Amino acid sequence: MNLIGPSLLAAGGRFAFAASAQSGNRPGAGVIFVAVNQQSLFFSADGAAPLPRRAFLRYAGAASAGAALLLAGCKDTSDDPTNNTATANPNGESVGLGSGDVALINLIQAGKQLSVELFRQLLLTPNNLSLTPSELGLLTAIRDQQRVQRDTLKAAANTNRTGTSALNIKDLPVDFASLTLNERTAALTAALSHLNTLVAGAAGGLRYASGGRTMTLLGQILSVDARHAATVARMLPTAALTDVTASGDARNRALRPSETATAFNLLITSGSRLLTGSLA
Amino acid sequence: MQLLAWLDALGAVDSVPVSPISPTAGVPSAAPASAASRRAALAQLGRGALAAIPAVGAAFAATAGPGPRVASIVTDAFNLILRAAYVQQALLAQALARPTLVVPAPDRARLEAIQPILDNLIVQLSGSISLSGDAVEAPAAYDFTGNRNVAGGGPFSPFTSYEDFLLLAQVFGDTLSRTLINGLNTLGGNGLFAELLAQFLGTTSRLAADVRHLRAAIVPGVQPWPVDGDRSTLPPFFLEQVPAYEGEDSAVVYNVLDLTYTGEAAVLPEPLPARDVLTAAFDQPFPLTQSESVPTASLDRLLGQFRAM
Repeated sequence: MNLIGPSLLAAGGRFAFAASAQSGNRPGAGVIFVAVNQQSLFFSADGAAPLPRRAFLRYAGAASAGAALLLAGCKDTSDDPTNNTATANPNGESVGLGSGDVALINLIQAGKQLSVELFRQLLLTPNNLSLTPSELGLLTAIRDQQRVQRDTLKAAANTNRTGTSALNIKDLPVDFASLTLNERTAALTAALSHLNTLVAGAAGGLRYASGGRTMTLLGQILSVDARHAATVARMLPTAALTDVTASGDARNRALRPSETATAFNLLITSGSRLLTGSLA
Repeated sequence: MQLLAWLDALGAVDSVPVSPISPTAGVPSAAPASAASRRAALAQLGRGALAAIPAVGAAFAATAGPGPRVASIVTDAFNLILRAAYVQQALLAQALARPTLVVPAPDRARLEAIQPILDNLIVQLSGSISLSGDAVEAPAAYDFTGNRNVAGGGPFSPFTSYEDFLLLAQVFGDTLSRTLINGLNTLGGNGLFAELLAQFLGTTSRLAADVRHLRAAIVPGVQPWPVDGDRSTLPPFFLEQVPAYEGEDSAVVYNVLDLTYTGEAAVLPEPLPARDVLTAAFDQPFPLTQSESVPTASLDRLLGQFRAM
């Protein structure tokens, strides 16, 4: 098996965990073992047991390399009725994203599910879109790459699970009734808008990631999504070069996870939408 | 104090209120402005920055507590990104100012639109580093012929050959984006800086794709994204002498997921997509040597070739 999941060993009130040090392209390099008291900031049952700053900083550096894995190794509460992701559900929606880094991975995975289906449908009638052979090739490549990203994110979420059931969101039924996919400008604008949401959602979501591996993975995907967006933008006569909040600013837009989920929900069938109650 | 000022400055431009994504995340929030939030941000900075230190460093940090190096690791990452941005900025500025370079009018308009965005990126990176109290790396003198010599004489003629110019602009543009991905790995756990770098990445990768679109018009096979290390569209110089896309052909993501595996260990469902699709689906960071937190060696090899001595 090539998936190296976290090794989480409970020992009384303490955990020992093995984590691959954040090491860029050096898989398996620098495995460290760290013991952390369960009553520390990271493991406090109520999440509010502050340490003095100096003590926190001493622990934090060593603990953070494994924090994401450890958090991910905690019990999956997505099926737990007390989990916040399942409580704020006034409209009968059903898809919780999980918690911690896995929630971010699943949030972007939800967006990938939508983009794969969006580009699939868009390519069903390429003649309606008056696509050149070059454009058809580019959009097909984007669809294929989005699919690889979607499936990789599914695997990444599973890497973090410790239970027997997959910590993955289900396949989301799409509702593209609000989109016009059989006319060139409208269809490409819809595709660009969705890609822009993916980029802004990943950028804003990375604020909440705690693990270097998650940061890197989502950054790798964000980068390609931005390239996809630029590619679709070039097929539109008036699309902007960037997606920034102020002209000339080098910063891409950033969306909070709840904003990203809300945008995705516009394209998901009611009853299967993402729960946003506990998202930042 | 300088570090706190840095955090305050970053916080001041940050209008997004922060709270954990879920109660179980267990990650302290980084919020702007107040003393309490500064402390939280400092704690998170310490955690995020120290996370970049390999095992030995982390063990040392756990016993020694934070020191000046905490800021330096963050600024090392920022300075390396700045170094990559400088090169692209200088190439575009010098090339577009040369009457010897013939650039089609639509392409020129596109490239001139990229310039102020790069300028702003450099201003923001420099400003952030300055506020930390660490030194901002100055731009170098460049030899864009690739000969490390103020007199030039290298294999490229970017100020007379539009094809050469676009080749270098592609390489440097992609390098900038890849360095930002490295930065995300370095800053893992620090929300403020991670979001900022991710925002920069969103913009620079769009610009990099745009340059690739321009090059695709004159070089068959160029895609808006790197494909399998771009072997089919690069000259031998960038494949052998100075490997510009070192590590970009990797199909391993998340450090542990090898996309090429099949069967029981497969990451992806069958049928496995072609390698071109796998490698195009993810932009890769530069590989690190055992002692590095930021990819200094890779960038020195690549960009050093264009630094005038």
